[in-house]
Amino acid sequence: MTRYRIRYSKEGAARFISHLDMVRTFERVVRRASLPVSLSEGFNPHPKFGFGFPLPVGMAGLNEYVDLMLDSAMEPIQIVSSLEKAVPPGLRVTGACQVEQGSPALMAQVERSVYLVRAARAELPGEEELKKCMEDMMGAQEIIINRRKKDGRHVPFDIRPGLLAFTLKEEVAGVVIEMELITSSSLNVRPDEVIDAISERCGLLAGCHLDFIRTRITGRGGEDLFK
Amino acid sequence: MTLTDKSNYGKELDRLLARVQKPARYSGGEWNSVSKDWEGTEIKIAFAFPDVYEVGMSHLGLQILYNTVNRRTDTLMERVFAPWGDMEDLLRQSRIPLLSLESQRPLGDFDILAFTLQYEMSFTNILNILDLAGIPLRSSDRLSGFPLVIAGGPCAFNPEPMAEFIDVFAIGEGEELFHDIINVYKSVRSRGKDQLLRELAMIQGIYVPGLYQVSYNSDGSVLEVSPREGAPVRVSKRVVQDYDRVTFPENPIVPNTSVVHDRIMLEVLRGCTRGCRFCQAGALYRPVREKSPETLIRQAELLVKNTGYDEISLTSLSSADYTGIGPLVRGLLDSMDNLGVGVSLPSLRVDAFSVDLARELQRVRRSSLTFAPEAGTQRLRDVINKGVTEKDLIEAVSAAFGAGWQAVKLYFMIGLPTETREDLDGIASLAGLVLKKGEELRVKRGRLKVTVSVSSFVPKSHTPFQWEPQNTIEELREKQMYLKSLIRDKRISLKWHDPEVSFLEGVIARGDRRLSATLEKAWKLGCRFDGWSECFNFRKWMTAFGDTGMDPRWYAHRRYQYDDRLPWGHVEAGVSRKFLVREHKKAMEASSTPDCRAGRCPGCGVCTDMEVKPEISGGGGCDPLQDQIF
Repeated sequence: MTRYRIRYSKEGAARFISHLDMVRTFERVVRRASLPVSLSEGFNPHPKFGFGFPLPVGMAGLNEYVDLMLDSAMEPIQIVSSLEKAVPPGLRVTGACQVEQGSPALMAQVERSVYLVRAARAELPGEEELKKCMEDMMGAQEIIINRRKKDGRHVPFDIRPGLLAFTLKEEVAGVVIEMELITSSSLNVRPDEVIDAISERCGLLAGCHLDFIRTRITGRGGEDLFK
Repeated sequence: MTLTDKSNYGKELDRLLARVQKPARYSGGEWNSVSKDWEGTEIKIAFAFPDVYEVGMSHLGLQILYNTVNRRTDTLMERVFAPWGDMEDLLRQSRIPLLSLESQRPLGDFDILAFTLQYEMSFTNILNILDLAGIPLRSSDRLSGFPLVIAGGPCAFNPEPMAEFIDVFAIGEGEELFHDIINVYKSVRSRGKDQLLRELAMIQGIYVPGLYQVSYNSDGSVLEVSPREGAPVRVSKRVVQDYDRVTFPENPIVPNTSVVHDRIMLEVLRGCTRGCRFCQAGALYRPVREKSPETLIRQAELLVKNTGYDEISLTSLSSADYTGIGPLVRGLLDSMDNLGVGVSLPSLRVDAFSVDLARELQRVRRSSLTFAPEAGTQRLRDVINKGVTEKDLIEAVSAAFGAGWQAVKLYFMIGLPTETREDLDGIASLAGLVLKKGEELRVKRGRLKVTVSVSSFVPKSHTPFQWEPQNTIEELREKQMYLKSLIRDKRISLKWHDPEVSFLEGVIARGDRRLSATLEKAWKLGCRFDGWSECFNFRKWMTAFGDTGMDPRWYAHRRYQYDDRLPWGHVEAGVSRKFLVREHKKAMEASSTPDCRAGRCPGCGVCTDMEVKPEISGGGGCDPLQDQIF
């Protein structure tokens, strides 16, 4: 068995494929691609693969990963071209590389994610105000938000330790917030929680329609997961 | 914002999708979906399924027509589904019309809007789709500048309740009929709607309700249905010329989100020869035709390659009846097993053979097997011509328990014609017998379970029971309670259908054109997704009947005489009235009619009327009687 890491992007209509549905979709993709994919043991065998950190429904991802086990070794470029022909619109396979067989599961290696938050210029508050608000937040000791639990309760939660970087970038279409957050199993901060904190602390962005894009996923200390 | 600027709608839709449950219902972009060049394609058709995406995408007919139409270079077909309440609210609040999935265009931009009528309780969703598209509901209010609104599917065989809303009904199988519609549309559309409708009415299988005048007797029953402007007196259904070679979607759309039937649907045969007297599908889809094993194996291989699914369901009204089902299944398993692809049967016959087949097929032990004896006594099973005996059932469940299944589901109907207390007692005692068999065969204690699912009989058009009254809601409820009192063992669970829903199904299934007003009123009062228990509101429906001066009980509970003019009498399914009368009389005598596969033609009239023959693979079959013998 050889393990490969597949890099892909998820945009357009594909943004609305939930994580659970991505698993199902990817099973069909590998079958359509006729790759020599390894099957799990048991009565009802499934192709063996494992995704990275789930992407929320509706969010685009530019550099997402999934690890795939093949029974026989293949050239990464061949894997990419086979998969590329089998993915539904909105998904694109942009790379593949071999990964050491015994290394931890992809999910366990992910530590950080970089997000872009985009709004139409007309809806943005003054850039200066936003910049100041973000600087304040980076300087704060703690940033408490109300995190919604699965049972519907809200509990106070400090997102500051998970907020690594926070910048404002200018684009032709408008202003973009870029943030690097901890997204690991022990600490996980979501970009919409950071936006909620901005609204709450500074009264900005509330009610704006924002597009979230995940641009990068990295490992411990920002280590590149794709080599 | 201009109404036809596509990019604007994409953006607007995005904002709504961020706020709805299950946005994948509306976002499209599935594998094998077809996006054609809008400007460069002459005819644009939207196929509208009047239920949610997950239900609509489980419908083989959608995939067949999508494929059939999109094969044409001059035509495109896109899809739209009924939006769930959250999406409807957002669309209305934001003043965005309902959009097609493929190009996110308003439905009003299409040339033809095609609905499928699968179920009476989805009719209000059709009105809602029209309204959300900004299209007037009534055919007479759509003069020019609106799409031609057409509808097909099983409920088109009694089209009358929808007659005021639909321009053109397509009766019967659509694979060839749809081409005829498009061809006429192409050549006549420039000459105005009236001319178009008149020309369409000349096609076999097309019913243009606006060309028929209905008059009524003083008691409210139909006196006469008179065609005008050359429209045919009777509209006969369409049957495809060569079922084995008819276009089948070998590259169906694979949804991005899970749907009700999330697997390959390989249609192995069409029609059913069993002749159950309550069954409308059994009449509408006659004659029975089977695909050749070679065609099926070829299609299965292509489907697996083109979809990536890991399961093939052999679909039809009764797949276990396929001649040589055993060899077919083994052949499929041989070619599919190394690909990790399984084969399944959606329904089982009540016999040990079917259970053996199911055992061969199963890869994952499914929790239960389902059988449909339909009635509790041999007498009533003979009345409905369900050729199943108690012995068959006991053999089937014994085989199931013996093969390791621990739970069995039994389907029954209550409210059938001639039903007595004894027949209800029979349901309870059959369930008890099945349970006992499970004990005997040592099914683990605590695992053994029998589910008795009881639906209520709804008389349907084109069946031998079309003249029969439906039980009242009170009678059905009383029967349900009686059954509950009989079934006390905790290992038997009893489920039933809401009798209020069955009642409305019955009203609409045998309704006439005056019910259009009631349907419109019900929609106005907020009725949507009436087949969904969380949405169904009986009180609103009763208000709608009251406000439009209609008595629903008259429709549901009346007994028609053989000579009565039926509201759907001008639509022909090919099964002759004489045959239906004879079948009804035989039912009253509890006398059964054998399956036409057995070689003796019972003379239903389809084959002679349609100039077709049953197509049974490997010959067999029988020669249709040229003249019906009585």
